[in-house]
Amino acid sequence: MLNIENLSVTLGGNKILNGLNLRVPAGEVHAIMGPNGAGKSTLSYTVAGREEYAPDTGDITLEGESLLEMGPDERAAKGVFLSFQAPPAIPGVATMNFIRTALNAQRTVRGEEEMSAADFLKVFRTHAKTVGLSPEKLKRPFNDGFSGGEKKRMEMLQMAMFEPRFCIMDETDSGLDIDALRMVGEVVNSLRGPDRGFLVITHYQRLLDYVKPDRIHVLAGGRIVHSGGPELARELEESGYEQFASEAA
Amino acid sequence: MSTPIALTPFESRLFADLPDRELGELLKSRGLPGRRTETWRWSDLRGALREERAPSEAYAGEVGEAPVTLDGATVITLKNGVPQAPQGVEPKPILVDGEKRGVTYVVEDGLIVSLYDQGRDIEESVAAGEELAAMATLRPLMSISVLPTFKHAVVVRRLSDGDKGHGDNIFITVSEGAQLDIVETHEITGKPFVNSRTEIELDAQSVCNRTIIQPKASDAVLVHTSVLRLDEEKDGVPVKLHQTTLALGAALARHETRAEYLGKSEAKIDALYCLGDRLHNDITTHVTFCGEEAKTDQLVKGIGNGQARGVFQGKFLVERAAQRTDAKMAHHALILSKGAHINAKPELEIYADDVECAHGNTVGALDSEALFYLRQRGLPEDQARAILIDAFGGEVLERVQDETLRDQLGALFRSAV
Repeated sequence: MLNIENLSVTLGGNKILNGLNLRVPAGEVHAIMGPNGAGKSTLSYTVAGREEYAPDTGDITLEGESLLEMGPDERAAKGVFLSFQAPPAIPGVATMNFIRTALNAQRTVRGEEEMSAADFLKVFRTHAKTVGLSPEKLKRPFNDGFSGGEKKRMEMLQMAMFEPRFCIMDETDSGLDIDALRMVGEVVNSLRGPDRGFLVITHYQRLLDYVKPDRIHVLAGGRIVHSGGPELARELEESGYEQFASEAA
Repeated sequence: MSTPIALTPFESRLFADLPDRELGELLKSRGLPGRRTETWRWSDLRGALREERAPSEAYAGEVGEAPVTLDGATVITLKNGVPQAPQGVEPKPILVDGEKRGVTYVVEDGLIVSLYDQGRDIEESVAAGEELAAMATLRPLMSISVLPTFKHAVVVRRLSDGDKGHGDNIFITVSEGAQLDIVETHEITGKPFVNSRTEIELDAQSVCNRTIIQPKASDAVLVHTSVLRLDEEKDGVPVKLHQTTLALGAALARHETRAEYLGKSEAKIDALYCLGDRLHNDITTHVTFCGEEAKTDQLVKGIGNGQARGVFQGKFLVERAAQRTDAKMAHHALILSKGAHINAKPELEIYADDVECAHGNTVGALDSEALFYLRQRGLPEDQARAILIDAFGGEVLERVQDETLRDQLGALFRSAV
């Protein structure tokens, strides 16, 4: 599924990712944990194709196809979805219209038929209910006046709508209460399947109570320094990342 | 007294033709406003008009479709500054001491249009920078009056062509309890110099929704001065004004609004400019708060591409008597190319102590975070940029209440991006 090899990224003269290797097979959920400044968000932006985050070395492939020469929109059409850590508000952009336009832009690139307004509305309403966003909120411009938690719900709504092949969730749990965490778990678990992969970036073990990972990786100093099974999360929560700092150095 | 300056061939001709000798003499000593004039330093009118220009000949162009239409509106057309007689109604002479001074038309019940043979006298001294407005005052006056409690819609189309010079002088009265929805267009082809003036008196309890539309006029020079006077409230009902300017640039274009609030009133003085190539546009507003409890919310947005030059100068002058004034001024501009320039000068001058006044001003590039976000969702870069630009400018147009008009303005704006 997603294969990252020897990835290095420099930002403002600082090497943020430094020879990172990671493989997430189809059907699996992998979590990335690590201290602040380890490069977790950089990794998500780099995979999604943000221009300023172009790698110095290495490769990122999805189903064997390199993503590096593709723009963010082409990667999205290939099925890469990023749930943003801090999604922007875009005043003046009508929410439903934007999501439908984006969805159909992806479909067109993939040679699929566009989704009709009626079909879209039906699916949209169902998912909106799941993530707990009221119709009044959805009539507002995109994320305009939304709280942090509501913005995260909007990310989950889009993830459910787009049905991406590979989902990167960058600290989706931050700022969410228990009910919202449960909702995130519900969305992820409904999408989980043999053809889909997830990379869940988080600081805390608590999200992983709702989204059970197959593997957990520790990212420190721009590299994966340790990997383990789901039990690693609780271990990290108890003893911190200190023990891996030496491995990163 | 400053030493007289060397006049350009344009100025020599223009000032010699003025019917007001005193103003002519003043202008000969001052010249046209330009780089050296504080309020015109980013709009060098003097530099833009150097060659001699005769008065414009008759309008020779076609009369195409108006850039926007207004439901049920009376359309009044000016061709190269000359008001055209309203169709289908008989003129009546305007007599002063038995002498004919013009003609008047009762266009509809409660809507009167009068065309005078002459302009008005200049009663006050002409401050530096206000010369163009003064010159326009001298042109034959056209007056539009909405009588008390009537509601009317009017479209004033200013059609201009050729390469010479002309102007116009319109005086509008919105009487007590009346409403006027008015669209004023500047439809310019060729490269004329146009000096327009609109003066509007808003009597107590009146409402005016005013839209000024200036499609792109790459080779023309346009100065449009608006002088607005908002009366005090009556029986607790304030005067309401909502003005929106959509300006798409010219070789040099200045849309200047000078407003005076006598008391409790509610006003929006908005503008959206969108410029590409080497186009220029200047939005200058000067609001004087004279009486208590006036409320103003101003939103001006601009987009500069290519080598365009945008200017915003906004001033709120709150006089000592204007207690409990509530005034907000915001100007935000997007620069889409390295060659575009935006100059902005927001100013608050406050002499009253119990007021709420604020101003905000930003000039920047397209939000890269939002752009990446839209692309991450699958929108190609061009489309993502277009959506963001549209959303940016759309904020001004969203405030226009008439949905049909708003859609038409949106289409004009999008065609300019």
